[in-house]
Amino acid sequence: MAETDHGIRGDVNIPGVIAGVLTLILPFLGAWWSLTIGTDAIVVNASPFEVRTIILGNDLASPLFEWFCLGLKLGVMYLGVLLITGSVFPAIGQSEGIARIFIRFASRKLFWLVLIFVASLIVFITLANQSATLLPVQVHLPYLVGTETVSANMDNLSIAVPISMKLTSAFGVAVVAAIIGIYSRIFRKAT
Amino acid sequence: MNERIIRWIVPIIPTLLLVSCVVAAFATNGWDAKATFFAEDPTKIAESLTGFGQAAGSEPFKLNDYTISGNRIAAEIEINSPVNVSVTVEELSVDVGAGDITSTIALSEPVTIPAKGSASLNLEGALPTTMTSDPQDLQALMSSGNPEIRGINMKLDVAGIKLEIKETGDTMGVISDG
Repeated sequence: MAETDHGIRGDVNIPGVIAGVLTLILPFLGAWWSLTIGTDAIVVNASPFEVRTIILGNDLASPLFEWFCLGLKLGVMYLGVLLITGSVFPAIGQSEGIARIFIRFASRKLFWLVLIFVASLIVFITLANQSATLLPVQVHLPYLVGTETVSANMDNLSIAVPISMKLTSAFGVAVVAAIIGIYSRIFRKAT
Repeated sequence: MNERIIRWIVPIIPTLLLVSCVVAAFATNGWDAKATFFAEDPTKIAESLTGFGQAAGSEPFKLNDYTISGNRIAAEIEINSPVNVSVTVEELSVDVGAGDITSTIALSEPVTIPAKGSASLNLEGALPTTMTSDPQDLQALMSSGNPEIRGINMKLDVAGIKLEIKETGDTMGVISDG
């Protein structure tokens, strides 16, 4: 009996279950990155599941983008379910082969999502900094995290714009879930 | 279930989810591409963002009243904010002149204009001593009709963005009692 219990526990892919649960709750943790210009003149809260842009109190929304983000949200939840299912399948006597398919498919997708998200932000900030060279003022946005105050003097007008960017704890959860997801694949091979 | 079928189905499901959501976006917006891409008319959004000088149905600035008593000059200006965030007028001073005489009136304390709201700015200042000592000059100003604005210095805080505007000139405008 003790041997059987040990066998069942050994077959559960614990990192896979943890990664699966984290992946499943990830879409509900809110924005991964936020950009604030002024105190609330322009606020951008972004994650792969939602991008909320508020400019001078006006919420800019696109139904198409919102629906697309909903699709991503459902897709990531699906990955979480696959990770959990694939991790517990062998322990409940289900096919090892199906478990392998689930884990193999779901384990690295979140990592790519995190990578694409960060790369997109870096490209966006780089383009913003590049296009800022066309402006009469010197603008250098921080990369992903940081604060900067852009000041400009033009004829009779002077302007000071504080800009702040930060990665949120939800992004931290995404990174942890992505790493554990990859580890769950290695763990699967090792056991 | 056959492993081969599962291997085939597993990657298709997220693609189907995404495609279904995109189709649903168009379907819920009556297959209208513009309504699907933009929740609000982009021109209206642009107007609301750039319409700093056009509060809905009202003038952005309006001189409600101005009085001269003794050596003090006071003016009440009503400001209508078209923007959806609060704006704080931290400093405002206006050089008002008539003939050769110029006097500066200024805001005594910062005033916050609520989002899409209005606020009254009470500006006060002292008349030049040369003028108050000569009742004829004062009489000239009182009877000159509309004094001119000869300079403005304004510091604004628009949702954390600091703006400072300095306008100077011989005649920037004529004050007409609203």
